[in-house]
Amino acid sequence: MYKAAILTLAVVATVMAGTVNFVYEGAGITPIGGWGENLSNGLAGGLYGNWLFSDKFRAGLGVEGAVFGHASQGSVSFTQLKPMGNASFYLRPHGTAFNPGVVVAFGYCRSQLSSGNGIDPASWDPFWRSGIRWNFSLGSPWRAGLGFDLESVMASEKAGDAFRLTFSVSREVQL
Amino acid sequence: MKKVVMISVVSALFLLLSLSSGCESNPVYFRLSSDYFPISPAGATWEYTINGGGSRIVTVVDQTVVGERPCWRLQSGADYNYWINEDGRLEKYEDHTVLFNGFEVPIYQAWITMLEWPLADGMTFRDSVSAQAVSQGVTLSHTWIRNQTVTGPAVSPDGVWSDCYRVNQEEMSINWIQTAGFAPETTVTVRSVWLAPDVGMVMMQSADSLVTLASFTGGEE
Repeated sequence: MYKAAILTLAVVATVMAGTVNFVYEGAGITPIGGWGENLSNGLAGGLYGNWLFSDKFRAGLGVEGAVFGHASQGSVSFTQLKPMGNASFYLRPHGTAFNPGVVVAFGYCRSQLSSGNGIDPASWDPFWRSGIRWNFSLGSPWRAGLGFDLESVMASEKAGDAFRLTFSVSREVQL
Repeated sequence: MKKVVMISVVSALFLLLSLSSGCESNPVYFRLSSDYFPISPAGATWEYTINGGGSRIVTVVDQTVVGERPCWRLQSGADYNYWINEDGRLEKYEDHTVLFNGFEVPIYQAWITMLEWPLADGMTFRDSVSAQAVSQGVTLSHTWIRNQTVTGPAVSPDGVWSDCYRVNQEEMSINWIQTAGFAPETTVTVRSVWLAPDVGMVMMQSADSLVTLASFTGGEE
């Protein structure tokens, strides 16, 4: 019942909004601070729906999944699942070649380690992200973006900090 | 427009609360960044107490080369052990001998991976060796099997160390001196080792002994 109410609210919010910018973003993730010592760099993919509150400001919801392996062992995988709320501000929203912007995101991260045939208990922790973007047109209605982020999963005792290089494709949809 | 903003924000908060409810946090990034078997630098010392009396001191002596590989030499009492901890693996130089006519006959020497990092609950490792040697005209055969299971993370039994992994080790050794009057001799050793982050072994329990870490001093880089 509780989850149905949440879903209904989310759907209502989406339907009532005017224009939504749908974004697919892929990223390469480099761990910072030693927690990635036995892991390789990670790959991430995420989907976001951002409501256009004005030409320059947009905010919405998204979910991202990321996976890290091991440089020499195929049996290690570390996964992250991040449902989040995010907001972005672009200076030249209709710029063809140069539309710089900033993004911030807050949410929760589910982290889980699998190694060999063992699996550690999953951890849910708050996380934040901030970064910059260079957005450009791919021909209406499609746009693309490049950027980098700093993010931190605020787990107990030690945070999971990381650096992300991102590439995204997006299009606006009038609902 | 205000209505849309409000509904969006409220639904986002509800979604986040829903996803986080019933979920627990644990220091997974701390465990990932920790060294569970810090065998360097030289000078690192672990002092253990043995139940029933006595103590054991383990010291990282220096770096050396064994089996054509650079490694760290650890001293425990009068014994030396050789270890490599790199590329996500902990390797130990296994030096197996068979006692025959009062002589320790070397029968198997090699680097064997003991653990792979990072540790996780439920990991299992199995290592085995089968070797033969001839001494004084007699064939000596040696079979060695080690099974290891990792459980955790948990607090050590003495309650001092958190985020430990427990490694249950079962080691079976069958030595057979293939001449009249000798039968295969089987030895089975079962022990549990607790490894704490950035400290290493903090407790070892076997059928006849309990070894507990009393103090740990990191070496100088």
